[in-house]
Amino acid sequence: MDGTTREAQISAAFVTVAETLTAEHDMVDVLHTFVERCAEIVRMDAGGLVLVDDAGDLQLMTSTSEAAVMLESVQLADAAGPCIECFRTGEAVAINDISTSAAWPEFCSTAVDQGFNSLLSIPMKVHGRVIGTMNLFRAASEAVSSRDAAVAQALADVATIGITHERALHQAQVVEEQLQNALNSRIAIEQAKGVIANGLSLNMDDAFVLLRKYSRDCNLTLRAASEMVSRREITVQHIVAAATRG
Amino acid sequence: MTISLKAIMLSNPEVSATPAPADDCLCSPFATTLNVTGVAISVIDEYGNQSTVCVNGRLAARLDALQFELGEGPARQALSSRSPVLWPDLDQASETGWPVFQNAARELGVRGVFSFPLVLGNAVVGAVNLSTTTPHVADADFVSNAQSMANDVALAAVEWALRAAQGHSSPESEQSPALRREVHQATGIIISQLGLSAPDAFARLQAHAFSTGRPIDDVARDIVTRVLEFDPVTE
Repeated sequence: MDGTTREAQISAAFVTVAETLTAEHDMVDVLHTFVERCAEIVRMDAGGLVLVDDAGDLQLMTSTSEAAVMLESVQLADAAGPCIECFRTGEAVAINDISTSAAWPEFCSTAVDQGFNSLLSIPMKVHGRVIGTMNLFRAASEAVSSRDAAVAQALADVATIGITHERALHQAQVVEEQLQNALNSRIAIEQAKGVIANGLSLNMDDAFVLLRKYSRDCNLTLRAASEMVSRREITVQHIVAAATRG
Repeated sequence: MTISLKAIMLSNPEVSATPAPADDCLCSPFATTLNVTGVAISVIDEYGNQSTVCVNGRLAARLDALQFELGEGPARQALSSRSPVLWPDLDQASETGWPVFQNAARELGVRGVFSFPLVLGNAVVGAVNLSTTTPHVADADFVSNAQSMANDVALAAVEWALRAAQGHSSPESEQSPALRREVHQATGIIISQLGLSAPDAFARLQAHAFSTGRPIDDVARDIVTRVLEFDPVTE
C-alpha cells in the first residue's frame, strides 16, 4: 500500500468515526465498522473491541470474525490476557510472536490455534479512565511499527469520544423520560385526588388513601387509576363500591 | 439509575424520597456571578407542565409563577427556541412575543429578563430565568457564563424535580412551589364540579386567576380549602 492511499484511508477512518459523534447510529454497527477500518489501516487481519459496562464488567462489543470472538471470549472468561492487561494498566500491549510468548499460555495457544501470531491491544481512555480496549490480531508474526501503533491509538481516542458522547446522551434520555413520567404521574394523581375529594367530600389525604386502595385492588398502577379518575372514565361511586367490597 | 415509579408509589409513599425543601443553593451562584436580582430554575415539559426547582426570593418566585399562570414568557420562548432569550430592558422592549407577561413583569418593577435553556442530552428540559430591577447589559461574557452555568445545573435540576414528583408530600411553599400540587388538586376539583376535561378545568382555573388578578397558587388554595367553588349553574 503506498503512502498516499494509506493517508487517505486514515483520514476516511477519522471521518467515519467523527460522523458518529453527530449522527444517530447504532453504536454496535459503528464500532464494527470502526474496528474493521482500524485493522485494515494498520494491516492487521482481525479485531475486536471490549467496553466496560455499567456494572464494571468488560463486554465484547464487536469483532470482525468468529476467530476474534474466540480470542476475546477466552480472555474475558479467564480475566487474563493482553486485552485485560491493557485494560488494567491503560498501556498498549503488543506481542510480536505469540507462539514464543511466555505470558498467558491459555490465550496464546488459542490464538495460535486460530491462526494468529501477533497482536496489538490499544486502551480507550476518557480523562485517564480506561473504558475499554481495541484489540487487533495478525496472522503473521510481525512487530507493529510505532507509527501504526500511534495511528491505532489516535483512532481509538476519537472513537472513545464518540462512545462517551453516546453514553451521556443515552443517560440523559433515560433521566428525561423518567422525569416526564414522574411529572405526568404526579399531576394525574393530584388531579384524581381533587376529583375524589370533591365527589365524596373528603380531604386530600383521605382521597389519596382511597385512590391507592382502588389501584391496588384493581391491579392498576397509581398513575393508570389516577388517569381513569381524572378523565372521568370511572366514577367516584365506582371507587367507593370497590373499596367497600374489598 | 433505574427507578421504578410503581415500586416507589406502592411502597409507603409518606417515607419515599422526599426532597429537601428547595432552597436557593442552585440559584445563588447565578445571582453572585452574574450580578442579577432574581434567579429561578424551572423544569418545564413540552406540554407546559412546570416544576420549580428553586427561586432566590419573592420577585423570582412571582415571575416564575406568572409564566406558569399565563402560559407565556421568556422561559417558554427559551424552551421552544432552544437558545437564550435576552431582554436587557423591558421598558424599551417591543414585540417580545409575550405582552401580558411583559406588562406584569414591568408592574413588579422588573427591567431586565433573561432565560437560558436547561439542556440535557438532546432535550431542553427547562430554563434558568434571571431578572434585574435595573436595565442590564447582556454582553457576550454574561451570555456565555450564564449558559455554561445553566448547562452545569441541568442534571441536578432534573434530578431534584424527579425526586419532588415522586414523593407523595414534598414540602411546598410560596418560595419553593415545586410542582404546585394544589393547582392540580384544584384542577381535579373543577373537573368534578363542572364535568370538564383536565385541560379545560385547568384553563378555567387559569382564567379565574387572570381575571381576578390573583396568583394561581392562591386561587388553587381557595378551591382546595373550599373557600371558592365553581358552580356549574352560575359559572
